[in-house]
Amino acid sequence: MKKLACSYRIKRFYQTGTKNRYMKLFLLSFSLVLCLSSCWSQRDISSLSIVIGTALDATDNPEELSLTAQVVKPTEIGSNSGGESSSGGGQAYVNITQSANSMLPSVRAMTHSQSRKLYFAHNEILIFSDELAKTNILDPMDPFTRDYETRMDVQMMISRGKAAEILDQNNELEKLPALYISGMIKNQKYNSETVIVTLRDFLIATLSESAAPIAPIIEIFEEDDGNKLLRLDGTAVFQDGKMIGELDQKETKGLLFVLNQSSAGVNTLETPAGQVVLETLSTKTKLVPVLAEDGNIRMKVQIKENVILQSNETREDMTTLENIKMLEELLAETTRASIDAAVKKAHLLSADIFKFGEAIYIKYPKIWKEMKDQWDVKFSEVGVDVEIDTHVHASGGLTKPILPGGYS
Amino acid sequence: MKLERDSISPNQFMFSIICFMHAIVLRSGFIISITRQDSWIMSITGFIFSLLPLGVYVALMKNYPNKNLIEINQAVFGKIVGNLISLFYLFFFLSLAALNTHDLGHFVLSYMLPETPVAIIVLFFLGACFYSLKKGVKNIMHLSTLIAFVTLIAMIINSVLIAKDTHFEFIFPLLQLEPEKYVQGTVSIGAVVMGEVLVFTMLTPMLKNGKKVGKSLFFGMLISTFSSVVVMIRNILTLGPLVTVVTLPTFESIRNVSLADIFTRLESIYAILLVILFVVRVSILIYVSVLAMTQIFSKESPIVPELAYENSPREKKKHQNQPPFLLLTTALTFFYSLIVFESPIENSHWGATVAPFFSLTFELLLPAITLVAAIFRKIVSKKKEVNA
Amino acid sequence: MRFISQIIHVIKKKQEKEIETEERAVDTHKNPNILSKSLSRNIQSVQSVLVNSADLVLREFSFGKHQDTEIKAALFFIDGMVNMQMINDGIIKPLMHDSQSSHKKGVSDIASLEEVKEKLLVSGEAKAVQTFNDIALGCISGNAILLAEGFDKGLEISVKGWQQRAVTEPTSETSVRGPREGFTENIRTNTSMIRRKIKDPSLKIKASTIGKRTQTLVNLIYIEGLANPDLVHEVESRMSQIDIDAVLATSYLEPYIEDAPVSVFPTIWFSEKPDAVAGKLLEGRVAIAVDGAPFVMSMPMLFIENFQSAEDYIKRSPYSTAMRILRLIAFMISVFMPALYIALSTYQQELIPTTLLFTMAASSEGVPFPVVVEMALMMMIFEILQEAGIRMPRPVGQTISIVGALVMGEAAVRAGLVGAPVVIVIAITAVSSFAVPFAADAVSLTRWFLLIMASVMGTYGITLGGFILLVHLVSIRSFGSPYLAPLAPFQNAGIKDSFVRVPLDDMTKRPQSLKPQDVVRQASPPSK
Repeated sequence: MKKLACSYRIKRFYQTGTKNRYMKLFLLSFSLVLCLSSCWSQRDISSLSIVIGTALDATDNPEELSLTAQVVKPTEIGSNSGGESSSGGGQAYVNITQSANSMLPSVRAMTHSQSRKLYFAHNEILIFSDELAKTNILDPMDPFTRDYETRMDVQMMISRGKAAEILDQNNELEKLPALYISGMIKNQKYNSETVIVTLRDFLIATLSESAAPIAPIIEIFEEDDGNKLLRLDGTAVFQDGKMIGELDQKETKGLLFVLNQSSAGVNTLETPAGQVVLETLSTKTKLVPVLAEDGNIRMKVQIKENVILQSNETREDMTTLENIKMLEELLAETTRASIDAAVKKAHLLSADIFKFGEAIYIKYPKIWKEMKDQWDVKFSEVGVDVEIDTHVHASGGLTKPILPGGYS
Repeated sequence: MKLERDSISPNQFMFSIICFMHAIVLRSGFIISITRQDSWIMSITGFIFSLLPLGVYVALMKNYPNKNLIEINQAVFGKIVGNLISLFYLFFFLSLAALNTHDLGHFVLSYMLPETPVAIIVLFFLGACFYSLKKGVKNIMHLSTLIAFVTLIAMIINSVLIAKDTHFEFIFPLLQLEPEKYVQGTVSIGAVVMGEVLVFTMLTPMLKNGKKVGKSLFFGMLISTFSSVVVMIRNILTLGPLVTVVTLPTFESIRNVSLADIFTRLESIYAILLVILFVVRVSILIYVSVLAMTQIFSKESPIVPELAYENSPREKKKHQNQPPFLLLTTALTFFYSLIVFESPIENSHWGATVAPFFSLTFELLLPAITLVAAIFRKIVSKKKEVNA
Repeated sequence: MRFISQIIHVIKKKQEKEIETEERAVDTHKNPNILSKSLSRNIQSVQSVLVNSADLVLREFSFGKHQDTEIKAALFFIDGMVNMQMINDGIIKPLMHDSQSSHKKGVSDIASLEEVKEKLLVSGEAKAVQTFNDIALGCISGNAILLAEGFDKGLEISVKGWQQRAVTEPTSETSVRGPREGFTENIRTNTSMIRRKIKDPSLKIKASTIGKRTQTLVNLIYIEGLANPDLVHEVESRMSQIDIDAVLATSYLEPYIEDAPVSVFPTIWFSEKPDAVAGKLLEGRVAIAVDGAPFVMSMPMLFIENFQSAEDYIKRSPYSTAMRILRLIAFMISVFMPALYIALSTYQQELIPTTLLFTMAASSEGVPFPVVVEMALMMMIFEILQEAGIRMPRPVGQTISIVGALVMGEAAVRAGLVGAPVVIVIAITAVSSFAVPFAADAVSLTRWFLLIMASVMGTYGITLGGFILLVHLVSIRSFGSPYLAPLAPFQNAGIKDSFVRVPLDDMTKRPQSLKPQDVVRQASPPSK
């Protein structure tokens, strides 16, 4: 317990000794530093332009690109606690466009015309016009990845036509087009007909030795009555940082099957008796490279698909064993057709969108080393065997279709 | 500050080693650029490699119980030669402190305060270190248990939350690179990450039970290795080929956590933990430097038990003079850290190429020489006894 | 019971004897101070010592016989401090009435005051006094002094009895299912309440007097064989070094004996509840009671005690655990919230969820001050409101809080002077700080420190500030116990009663950090 007494004495010693002067001096200098150093990196929220969507377009000058940033007007967003109540009905966003020879210079060039600094940390979508994508997509992407303000989980897409126009497409439900688009993208997992690609996914595919990056395509679609709508339609395929082709919706579906990303979706089957709709519950895909005796590699795609009967538009009971079997076979056929279409298109473009190369690398690293240099050519020669195992799980709440007159 | 020979338990010792190691474990990006998806294996081999220097330290401790590195040097080589060799250690400790301060300064600069001068960031950082050392290194040791627990739990939570975004194929195929790269990776991890446990041989006299030093060192390193493996695997599984491109894989990996729009931006937790771990780490390094400095330059042993306050006013006066020594070292670290590298780029290049050899000189070569000399001395003295 | 009361008696006797012998040793060479045999001279002397005391009462009478003459006597006491009935029935009546007809008792001739004390007085406590100082002291502490012609001694008769507060339910800590009684201003009532809780002869109560002018009775309470003797010794030695002129409340002693007087965190624990103090004593702590103050302090105090309440041990353990964690969260919120808000809204906006950022941006639109200034202003106004509300009489206090809430909250936001989020943050912070009442003072200062750190360096500043705070807490020692135990240094047994509270039958050991003599609290429960 001597120690106890001594800690007490130390305390007394610290209180009375010259230590106090040291302490005061230290505190004084520290507080001076505090005063001097305040507000280097400080920025009030009200001094920021919060960017939530970015679009990149090619310009007439091949050396330049134009950047459009969607900036939020916070007072117009539905909060009723704002200083003055907003008049309502005003646009909640401003699109700012600036051209320069690269991305960062255009962001900085905006300071010439704007009162607030652009702030990209909450950027949700990144749209490239197809025109730009066909010439060079990697150069503007680099600053987006390198800077810490931006995040790698932004949704990436390619627009048909001007990307800036996509960002200006108003919607009844959402006040901000960018949030509308990012919500739309998140919604795609219910149909499995569009790829969902973040900047990170795109970069990982770009860095891969074999795989070809992909991105969804967005376009403005004009309805018959002149109403303009946004629509996700198909997939853009890249090679060497350039967009080299597109997959349509059916091919995209096949692609998602092979990539094991097809999570849900509907399959409309034409049976002899009429139309039946099956909903996918889950699919599981396995890529198995097989080394044939002649030294060639074939790719075995094993798919297991679980569906439920969602809509029976025939007058027949589809829950009989024979009919179930018939449905399963029909489903396998449609799936095979979409995969075949995708494979055909991929072979045509000679772009490994399916990540076959990586599967081979994992299983046959030595063979891969020999073939990776001519993978562009060799990919088209890889034969694809599709094995599909479909399974109808349940028939929903009804066993038999609803017939007028009933089953008396 | 009190240079106290106050006792801490072997567990606290172990946890402070874990804290010390984790600061670097969470930052180890440089190794991934060498061995890519196999880097996690390098953690294990690096640990096995580092058992070699560890063996040397434990052997030294056994021969000279309750003495730290500097005191052992003085005992083996005598005052003058021993102190000369100890000067090398002092340089090593100071360099490590400066390097780590530099690292942290640039981390904060790029992720948290992009427009603030790095000197101010470092000043505040060292201010925190200075304060905690003024209060006594023992307190940091006590805190380390808490910090280590929080770190480990945060690491596990982050890993669980990110499980959704992992792709197992990224880790395959195993061991496809040139063998010399693996050797380089092993030595790098062993020397730069694990070998820095050398610092703790300066603190062993603080232990109540000197016999358990080896055990604490070993388990501290083992747990650090384990979490380093977990972190690396997680980074590889989430980032894939990106892992070799980004500056801070762990940071980028945690950045991807996105669960239900609520568990997002967890990198802030990582950043906070990293700062705290670095304060602990640099504080220990500065303490060790001060200890080495006082032991080399003062005539009598500067470590006095706390009891000294009680009866001798002379001791009091001496302790009043301690703060300037601490202040001196902190100031030295401050300026050293500002000039040590011109940029983080230079730093990471150095980390991947020169650092292992730089570290190994101090971590293996010098202690080994000391050990050989100690054994030789023993044999000679025994022979003398026999002759007499 | 009898046994205990006997022991108490013995202890008291012993103490009295000690005091007596001491005084005698001191007073032999101070002759003018000593009583003479002449009553009139003695009365004059007493009156001159206690001159200008309007409340001093002198009652002269005569009683009994000594060598066939009636003895003239005088009784001094202070009006208002004595029980008049006790004086009438216990002193004057037996002396004047009984002594006349006391031949049977064998008190025909009174030779010494000892005889009066032994055979005539009907009073619980009486002792002989020899000096005028003692007489004055006895008078002012509420005793009656009996002087008689022909004796150079006086009798100090305990007739204390003044108006005092009854035992009521404490206002600072209320209990739902626990005991309701609280300490009063009377130290004897207080110690008796503790003693009634712990019927153990090894419960020791050591008395001393502190305060040159107030002469306040201070009692050191501990359980022998349980509290570490070194701890008791250390507390005693620190108390013995106190040189203060007045002790008006328990906290007067605090700065003299605590370890970290400049820290914002308390290292000595106070309570108004006897059951809470008894609990502390039974853990191996030491308590100090001060006469005239309804608070008893206990030490060493650990940080964790800020989050414990006596009620926790009465409620079921899962609920108590949840409450303690809630209190920790409330503590964290009240310390870090304003700082965090500043850091996020001026440095790390990327950490704010997107939609929340829109709302915050909308409310900061058109606000004239930077958010740091806004926050500092609102915090200051809150502290002022709180202070004003506490110090004012209750009806006025309510008005203040209504005006404050309306003007500061609603109107300021409406007028666009401050943003609504800032007001919300301040409100949440304030409410949270009341969930940890004991640490509330510490919290409000810490909050400012972190606010400054955050406004200078954002989350980095908060991190460093938080670390400094943590190091500060770890470095504090309260009477040899590390303040942050059992968290740092980590201790297994202590953790059972920290932010978790296991069922009582699982708490088999007392907290290690207090280094109690008897570690084992109870046998481990039969295997469940």
